[in-house]
Amino acid sequence: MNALREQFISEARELVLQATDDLIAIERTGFDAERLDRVFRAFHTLKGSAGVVELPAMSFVLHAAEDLLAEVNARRQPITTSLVNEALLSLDQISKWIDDFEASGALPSDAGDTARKSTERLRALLNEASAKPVESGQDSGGTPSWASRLAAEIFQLPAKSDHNHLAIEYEPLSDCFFNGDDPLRLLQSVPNLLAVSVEPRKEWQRLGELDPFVCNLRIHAIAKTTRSEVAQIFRFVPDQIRVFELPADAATVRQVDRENESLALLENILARQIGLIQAGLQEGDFYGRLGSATRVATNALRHYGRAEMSGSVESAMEAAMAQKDASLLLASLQAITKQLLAPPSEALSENKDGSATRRSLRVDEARIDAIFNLSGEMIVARNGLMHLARRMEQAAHDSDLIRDIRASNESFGRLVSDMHSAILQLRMVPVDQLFRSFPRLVRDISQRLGKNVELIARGGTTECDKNVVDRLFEPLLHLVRNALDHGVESPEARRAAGKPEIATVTLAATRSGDRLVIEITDDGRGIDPEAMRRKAREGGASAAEEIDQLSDEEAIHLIFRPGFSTASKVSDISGRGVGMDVVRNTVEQVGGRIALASRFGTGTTVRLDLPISVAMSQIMVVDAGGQSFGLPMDAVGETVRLSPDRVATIKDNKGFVLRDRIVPICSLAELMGLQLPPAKSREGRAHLLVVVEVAGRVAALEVDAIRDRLDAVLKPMQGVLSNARGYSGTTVTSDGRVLLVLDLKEILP
Amino acid sequence: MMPTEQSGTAAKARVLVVDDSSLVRLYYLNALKNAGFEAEQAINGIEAIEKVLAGTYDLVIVDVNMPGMDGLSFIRDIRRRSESVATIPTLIITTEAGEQDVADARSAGANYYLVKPVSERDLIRHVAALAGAPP
Repeated sequence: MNALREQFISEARELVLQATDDLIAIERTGFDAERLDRVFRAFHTLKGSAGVVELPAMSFVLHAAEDLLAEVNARRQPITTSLVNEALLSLDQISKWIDDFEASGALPSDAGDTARKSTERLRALLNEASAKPVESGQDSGGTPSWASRLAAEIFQLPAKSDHNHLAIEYEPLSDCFFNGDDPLRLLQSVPNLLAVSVEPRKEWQRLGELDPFVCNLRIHAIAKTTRSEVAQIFRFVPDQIRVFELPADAATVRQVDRENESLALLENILARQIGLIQAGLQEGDFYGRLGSATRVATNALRHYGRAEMSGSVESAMEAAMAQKDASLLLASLQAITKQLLAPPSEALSENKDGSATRRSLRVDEARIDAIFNLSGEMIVARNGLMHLARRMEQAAHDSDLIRDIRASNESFGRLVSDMHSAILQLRMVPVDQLFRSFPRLVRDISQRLGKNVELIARGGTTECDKNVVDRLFEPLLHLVRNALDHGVESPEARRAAGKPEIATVTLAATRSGDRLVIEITDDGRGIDPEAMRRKAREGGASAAEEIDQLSDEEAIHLIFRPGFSTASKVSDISGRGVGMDVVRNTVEQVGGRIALASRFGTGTTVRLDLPISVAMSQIMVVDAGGQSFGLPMDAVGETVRLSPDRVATIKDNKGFVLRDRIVPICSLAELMGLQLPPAKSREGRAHLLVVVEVAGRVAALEVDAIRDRLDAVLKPMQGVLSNARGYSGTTVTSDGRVLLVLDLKEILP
Repeated sequence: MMPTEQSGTAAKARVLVVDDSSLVRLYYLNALKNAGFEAEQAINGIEAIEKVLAGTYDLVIVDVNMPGMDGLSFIRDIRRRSESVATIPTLIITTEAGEQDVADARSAGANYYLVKPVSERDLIRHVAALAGAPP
């Protein structure tokens, strides 16, 4: 795929997401000029880029959506749910096409039809509000979108005028040249012409097929004149023109555009003065470089009515001159730019800023993964070196040499692990990537459920390893769905309970040490412990008396049992059955923990505590039943060599006393279903035990031998083994063998 | 489209247009005068230097490619002269905005660049801001 396409795809996806967010925000807040403008520009840019990569169907849909938005922007079209729905649907279509385009380099063959249908739907909305059929020379009532756009293009509209501004649409007949019409000459004779734009009515044919004698033009113009004058000029072609009066508010719409544009230009000018200074001094141009930058900056600030800021630039310039230090001026310009950019603070805009101000490099994920894997291999190689060094220690006696090799091996090891953690940093992505699809999902789901929900996302800039973030989407989606479906009550129920009708669901990410904490909170009805108990009894999963003894908190946690669901009716939103146990499993697979707190009547918080990165794991290698296994070191408490007489047998179970505590002994070989060595050979021999602690349980694993400890990056189980339970991954040992690392939680009885 | 009825201002900004093409100069001069700027012209860097030494300007618009003395050399030259000349804001008009072109313009000391073709509206917006026309 070429660079242009790649650029288009990533940019287009970004724009779709941004427009989605803004549309949802607008639907909630109502008319918001800044947001609308951003949505409009997103559609506009998308349309343009789709044209560049030659996807006419995409441009077609975007064009219709853009027209609709222009109407909204001009306040002639109210913001309704159906309008936002249509706009979102068109964005859905665009994203689907972007996927298709990425996969196959083209749009599906039915794209044209789809585009026509989408366009019709969008145009239908447009027609509801404005654009009634117009007779020639008659006022249409509303201003067409092209007219407001054209008005915005005019550099300067006369401040006071006796005449109205008229917008003229002129579509010369396709055979007009043969009738002796000269469209451009006619247009030129319109007095006080302020703006003209010309576009093709139908898409241009290829140059070879183009018939130059057929007129395919649609001409738009704005003029300060009267209707009678226009009627006089176009008296031979009255059927081909439409005239609209530009309302007074066309000027205010333009004003908003103008202000945004001005701010952008001012920022741009300042940025380039900063660039000019940063480019470094050339011999002898210190004064000229800094002085001209200062002049331009103060000029631009003054021109845009920010004269009050220019004083600080001038004094910074004086200081910079006096101390021959360009950085003083630089700092002042940067501070001013920051001041200009100072964003209106809002919960959701938080993430925007982080991504906008940071300079970043786009790198293919696969490349980073490749480096990551290489660094993992390096760790293995380093472990191999360590192994060799140890063998040398046993074989040779040149202690100086051995000491040197050890020292060098150690510094090598340090470098390798430093590099590994640097690469882990590369894989950090903001949690926002995960959060940003939720506003849309919450909107759609709550609409379907007939509930009114506001989603607040916080801490989107918190970073976390891509692998963790990627795998969290499903569980998070599940939790949010649960919150919306089971947690949040219907508006009536909320009113009855004295709660605000609009429910709040919060997604909050925070960093706590090397952990990422994501909390999903709703202010819904909470979990009823009594209902949980009832459900558990019905389900017969546990004995009734056991259930009765559960504390409320324990009862709430029944929700994590496989197959447990309290939903009284099956819904298509969160379904039934596959539930929280799946969520918990996924979270635990990435090394996380899940916790739940709920107060009946007040709401529920689910807390995910996740590792920020998939750091190296420390592994202890043990032998059992003639095979080697890896045990995660963080589960290993200690190793114990136990004489046979200290082993106590209780019924069929063996155990021993470790510091006043009875620890059950399990044979690892037995747990793994491997053959035990004949009983005789083991008799009288000391037991070799690894005491492990998993999820609050302590057990001693009996093994045949304890070998090295390694630093390893676990690779997930692949291929036929990917579904094998009991293993958390594999790694390669120093002598090149593949080592299975055990998931102790799974294998302990 | 054409701008109309510039509101009368006290001090008009003075702009020097430097381009070897008479057509381009005419286009810029017309646009600038219509928008209420005072505009003068020079056909290359050498003539432009004579002009800036003789008079005062609020902005010089200069083409990159010109015979005699090109735009970048012109800017580099004036930046090393006495205070009032060295600090003149400069707008360079390029045909290309590749990384190298932008870096060259910066390193020469240009305050801003625009890429051809420059529409009248864009030209005036930028000139007004760079030369500090009253708001």
